[in-house]
Amino acid sequence: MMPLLARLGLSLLALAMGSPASAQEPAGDGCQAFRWNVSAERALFAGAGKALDAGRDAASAAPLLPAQLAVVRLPAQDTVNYARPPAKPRLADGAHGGLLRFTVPSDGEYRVALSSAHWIDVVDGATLLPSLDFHGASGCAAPRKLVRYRLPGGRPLLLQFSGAVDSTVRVTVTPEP
Amino acid sequence: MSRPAAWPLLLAAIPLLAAAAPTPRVAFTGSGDPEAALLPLDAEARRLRDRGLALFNTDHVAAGTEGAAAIDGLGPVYNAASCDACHNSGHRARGPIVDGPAPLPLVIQLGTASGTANASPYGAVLNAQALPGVAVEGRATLRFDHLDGRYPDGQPWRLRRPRYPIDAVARARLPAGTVIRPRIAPPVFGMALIEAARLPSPGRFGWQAAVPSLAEQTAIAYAHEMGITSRLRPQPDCGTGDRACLEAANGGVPEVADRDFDAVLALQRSLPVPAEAPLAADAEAAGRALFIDTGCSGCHVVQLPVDGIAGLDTITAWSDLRSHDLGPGLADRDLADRPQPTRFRTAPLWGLAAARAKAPLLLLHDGRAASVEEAILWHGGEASAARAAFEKQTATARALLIRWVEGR
Ligand code: HEC
Ligand code: HEC
Repeated sequence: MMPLLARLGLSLLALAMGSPASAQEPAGDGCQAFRWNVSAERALFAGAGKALDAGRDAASAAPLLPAQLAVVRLPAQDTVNYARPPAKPRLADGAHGGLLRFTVPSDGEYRVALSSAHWIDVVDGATLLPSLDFHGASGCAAPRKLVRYRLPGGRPLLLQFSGAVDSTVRVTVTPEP
Repeated sequence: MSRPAAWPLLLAAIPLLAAAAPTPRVAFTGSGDPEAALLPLDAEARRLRDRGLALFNTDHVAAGTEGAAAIDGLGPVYNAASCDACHNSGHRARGPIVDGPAPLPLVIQLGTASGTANASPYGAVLNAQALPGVAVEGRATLRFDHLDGRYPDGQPWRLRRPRYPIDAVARARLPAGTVIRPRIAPPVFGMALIEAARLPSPGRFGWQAAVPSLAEQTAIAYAHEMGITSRLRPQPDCGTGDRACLEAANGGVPEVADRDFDAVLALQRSLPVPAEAPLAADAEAAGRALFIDTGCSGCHVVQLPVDGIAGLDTITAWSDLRSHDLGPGLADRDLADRPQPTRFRTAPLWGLAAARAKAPLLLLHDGRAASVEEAILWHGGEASAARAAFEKQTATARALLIRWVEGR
């Protein structure tokens, strides 16, 4: 049988009872919920970004600069031709999507951070690059999620957005700290 | 949301069905694996499954969102916007489970000592997210302390024991008798086999085997975890007196079209059970014998009869799919921290090898056990004899048994 230890005072359920108004946001600032070190991303997302229009295909993909915030307008997803089909199929209903292109200076691990719940893929030539890990805080938009990749340096890569209704997304590409 | 890690994509995984064949196993890498199907699909069935996969993966949106009639109706209170956010490409939820805010796939159900749900002003589930302008119902924090013990041979062990303080609740106190029932999202592969199992009573889905059918379980998921209505659940999980929730705009009646509901069922029924990672032949046989001799197979049964799948008589889910009382250590607790007798379904051990490859492991109904050894050491109640037999073994035998279980 499982030995049952004496109960610790700690374990009592604490019912924090605020007024209905103060109870609107019980868990505080959703951007405090990250377990990764997101200080670089948080700083970039706090600034003004460069406005971009995402492309509808690889040829029209707009250029994204590493370590800078971009504020990207996305067209309706049903008008987009992806270079590769997104790795996670989602319905395009009401969704906005599109493509950016970017180049990282050297081989290494990088993160793409974004303000929305879009599915993202990084395409290198004809290949979808596998992600190494991802992390997010659903109560935060600055950023909301981060995806970690090992990226080849010095050649253009595509960043594809799909599967979420937001028509703008703020995005950064930064080296893994 | 969840992303498949860099897994080898093994194509042409053919279902192996033969009379009295073992459970069909394929190299299932995740729900996105286009070739993985439990049973052969014709073109029409394939289209339905593919639509189901897209629906499973898509974040649902607020009622009335332009161009999104098929996926609107989320909330207004909910826990996650897609099935995949919790069910991780068909695999069990992704970790880690550590001190801090309860992660999204760890759902806090609210019950009463007598087992009835819906006794709270928040309905059956404490919804931790809400649409803009609507109050979140409340959130739980995870707090671990440790339980230390020793095997009879003196070797020490340590378990992490979770508590679930509720940070805040939006409108009203939880009634004194409320039982907090933390539940982690289980895998959703092999569902067609669980549906087909021949059992003495209908209940078989969920950590407590309380739900009789996949359709019912899916309707509950839409209503309780996403705030979305379907033909089997015309109401979302609003608490009594939650005007904002009860009066919220809807995204259709019901919000999930019947055909889309069927597509999500088809997707789940198509997901095969991941392949085992057997040990070398001698160790495999010895490990299996230990598992049986120790009494594990009393509940984690070797074979379960199935009905209605051509060419298949039994499956090896390593579960009787029945519920058992494993004692107060695992039992749910009320607000005064008193354990309430709780019966859990013998957790199927199939798919553990795949889960381990996607470490960290989250085992048991609330993901508290980070290893097979910890999971075994939480067994009490009806499993006390098996647990004691495990503890009495030599360290070598225990290690072999654990490795064998890890390979299922
Ligand atoms: C917020 C997280 C979350 C979301 C979103 C969610 N689930 Fe679940 N799911 C769970 C949890 C937790 C359980 C265990 C429930 C229990 O034991 O009572 C579960 C159980 C299940 C089971 C039972 C599996 C078994 O082995 O018995 C199925 C099937 C299932 N969910 C399907 C779905 C589908 C389909 C959707 C989308 C419509 C969905 N779930 C959305 C968390 C989630
Ligand atoms: C009396 C029935 C019973 C016996 C005997 C039993 N188990 Fe279990 N086992 C269960 C139940 C019920 C659960 C689910 C508990 C929960 O959900 O918290 C479980 C869960 C598990 C899990 C976690 C699986 C998961 O997916 O989370 C493992 C591993 C496990 N058992 C291994 C064993 C081993 C090894 C033995 C023999 C030493 C054993 N069990 C004996 C009933 C039993």
